[in-house]
Amino acid sequence: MISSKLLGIVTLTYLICMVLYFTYLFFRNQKFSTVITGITIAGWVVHTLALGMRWYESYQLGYGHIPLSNMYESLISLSWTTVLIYLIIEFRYKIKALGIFIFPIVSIAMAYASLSPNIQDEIAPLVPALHSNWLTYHVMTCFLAYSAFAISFGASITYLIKFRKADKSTPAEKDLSGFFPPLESLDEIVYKTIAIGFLLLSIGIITGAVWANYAWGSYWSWDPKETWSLITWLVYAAFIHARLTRGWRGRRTAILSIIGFAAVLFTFLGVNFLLSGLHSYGSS
Amino acid sequence: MPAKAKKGIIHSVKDLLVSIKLTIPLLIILSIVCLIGTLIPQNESPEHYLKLYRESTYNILATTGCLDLFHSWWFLLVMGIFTVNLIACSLNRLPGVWRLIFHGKTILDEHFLQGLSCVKKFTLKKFSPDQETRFAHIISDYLKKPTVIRQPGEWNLFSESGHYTRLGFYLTHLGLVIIIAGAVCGILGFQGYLQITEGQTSDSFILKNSNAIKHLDFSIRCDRFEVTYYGDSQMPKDYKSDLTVIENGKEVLQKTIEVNDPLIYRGIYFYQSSYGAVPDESGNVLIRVTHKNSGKQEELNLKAGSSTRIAGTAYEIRLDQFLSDFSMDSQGKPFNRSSKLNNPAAHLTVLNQGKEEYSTWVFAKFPDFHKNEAQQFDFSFVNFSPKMYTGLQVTRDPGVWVVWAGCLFLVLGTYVAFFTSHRRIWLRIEEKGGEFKAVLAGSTNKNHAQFNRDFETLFKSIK
Ligand code: HEM
Repeated sequence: MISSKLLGIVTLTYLICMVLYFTYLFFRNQKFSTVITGITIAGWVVHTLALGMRWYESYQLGYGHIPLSNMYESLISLSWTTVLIYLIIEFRYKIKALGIFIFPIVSIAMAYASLSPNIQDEIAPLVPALHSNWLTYHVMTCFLAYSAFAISFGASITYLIKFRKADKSTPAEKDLSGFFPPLESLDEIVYKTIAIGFLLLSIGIITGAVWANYAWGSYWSWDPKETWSLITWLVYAAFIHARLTRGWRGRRTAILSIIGFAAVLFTFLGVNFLLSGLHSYGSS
Repeated sequence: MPAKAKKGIIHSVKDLLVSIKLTIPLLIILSIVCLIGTLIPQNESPEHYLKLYRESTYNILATTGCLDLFHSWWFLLVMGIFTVNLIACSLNRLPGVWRLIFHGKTILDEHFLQGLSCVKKFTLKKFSPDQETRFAHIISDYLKKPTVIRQPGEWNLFSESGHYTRLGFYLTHLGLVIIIAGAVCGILGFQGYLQITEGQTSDSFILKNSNAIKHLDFSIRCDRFEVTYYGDSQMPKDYKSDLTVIENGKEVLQKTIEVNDPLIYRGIYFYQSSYGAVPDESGNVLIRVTHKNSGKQEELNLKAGSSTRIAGTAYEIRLDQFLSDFSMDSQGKPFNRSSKLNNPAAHLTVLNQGKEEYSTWVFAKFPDFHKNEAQQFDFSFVNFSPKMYTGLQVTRDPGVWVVWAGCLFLVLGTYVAFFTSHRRIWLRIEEKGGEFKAVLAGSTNKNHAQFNRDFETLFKSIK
């Protein structure tokens, strides 16, 4: 299938991006920077085409569904939203440092999806319950939220590294940490991406509830995936209150953001692989 | 305990309840409780739990409500404290926010200036009404048309935008309280299950929690049930039922329901949730019994699980099981492969004076299969006309629209709280000894970096 081939190219491109972003750490140069961004955008465009192809191919097979239905498609789509949000942040804040954290995550996700024997990459028909437009609204908003949280996680890690280096570093290291944006910008990115992610996650949980109500007559049934998305939401609500009402900044909020991202990972992967419930489609 | 100390405790509990210091611990406690609720499987059977835990552990978990954690009294208590804290904190801050929105500072004073981060002081050689108009124009391009307050020797221009956005987080919190209220309203509803065979009518269903039978004020007829498949595969694509609502003998509503598209009548939702086959409309199987010795034949109407005596003998026949699509697994154990009527089969046991003698499978499509010479009876299906049934989930939740309204508030409020800001600009000009001393000041409650840049530009165009 064409989509699989394209996705192979995309995975390779993101791996190259990962190397390039690391190289950029040591060779900071305007031209090189433009080239990296160009390659990233090219990779993302091919990624978009590949997802579109896969969608089209599913229609040809007579199933006709958006590529969001199983673990393979989830990982691929989640990588797509993550690179999208990463690019937006790179343009908005003129910051390349986060690429060092984002592209390893994205490459691993893409490679794992294609290579792991636990994950089926065929286009499979949907069970009747998943046959709904709400699938698109629900999963897309959740994935965009997860991606925003991933960026905030990257920014938090960067913050902590830079924070430790800030006072006791040799000139060479100082130079390296000069590559990272100033602490205040990082702190702002952590907060901004969480604000975006929180709003999207709220919408994601609500569209999920509306859908559940349509499909099986109950908007909330405390199934593990639902409960974990609520836990994630509560952790980020704690982050928001810590920052807005208690005046926490910097290190402490960065740590909260990392805890939040751990909850995101568990909601997305842990629940499917370790617990069981209505959403356990991902384990197939 | 002395009355005074007691009052002290009540007071400090009250103070804690209305304090924002409690909010973050509450959010974290609630997350941990939810986490526990996903680590311990909820609402399973005792057998399931005893496989996972030792009996003593199981008893502790059961008595503390951990096996139905989200309905336990202490979970509800935490939710209650959460709600009280949310309402109390919001109300506490209301007067301040109200003042900020409707009675904001329009005239700068020295004390207020000290609290602002964007302040520029400069001196003008002259100041005329023309210039006042020009400043007002610049400010209104930047923000909104300023109000001008003129006093002898002093001019005050004030402009603000987005003062209502200060209410954003109220909307969020209100949404949350409404959602919780909606969830509480849900107690007035019910959930249950209804199974209707094609062509049959039903006006009652089984409640999920109590297994009691509940009657409806109307009845539902299933006219047709259909499963569609992907191509030639066994993978179902959709389930559909044609339903008719009958009230007072009249057909009032007809709808074809499918998964993700329920029938709604009088606030009661009927969801397509399952389907299957029954031997006939009444659920019975009509079996012909042939006595091998005498050749005598007899028809028995068998009900699943119960036994029927063959007249004039000590023999009874029991119908143990009915499968619509008989198949065997790798260990040779029979199971129902699908709910399609591919290979209907009945499992019968012959009892002699109450003692089991032997068992056999009877197949509708293969009457000669499994015949055993040594047995004294032959069995076969008579006029086999099995029916499909549709399984419906029946729910009523009067709180569901309240919950949606709350969700809408929550999302709108969160958007306003995060992505809009209350921005203010003051310009004060004082005449002092032939010179005009000017102060330009600005404040925002969000996005300070952007505001600071804009403020610099504003300052340049005014100076
Ligand atoms: C978990 C759900 C909650 C969400 C999503 C939420 C959301 C928010 C948001 C977005 C803000 C920002 C307002 C601003 O712009 O400053 C805020 C502020 C606030 N929240 Fe919550 N909140 C939640 C629960 C609570 C609870 C349970 C309390 C109980 C006390 C609370 C008390 C406050 C207070 C006092 C503020 C102060 C706002 C200010 O700085 O003026 N929140 N909340």
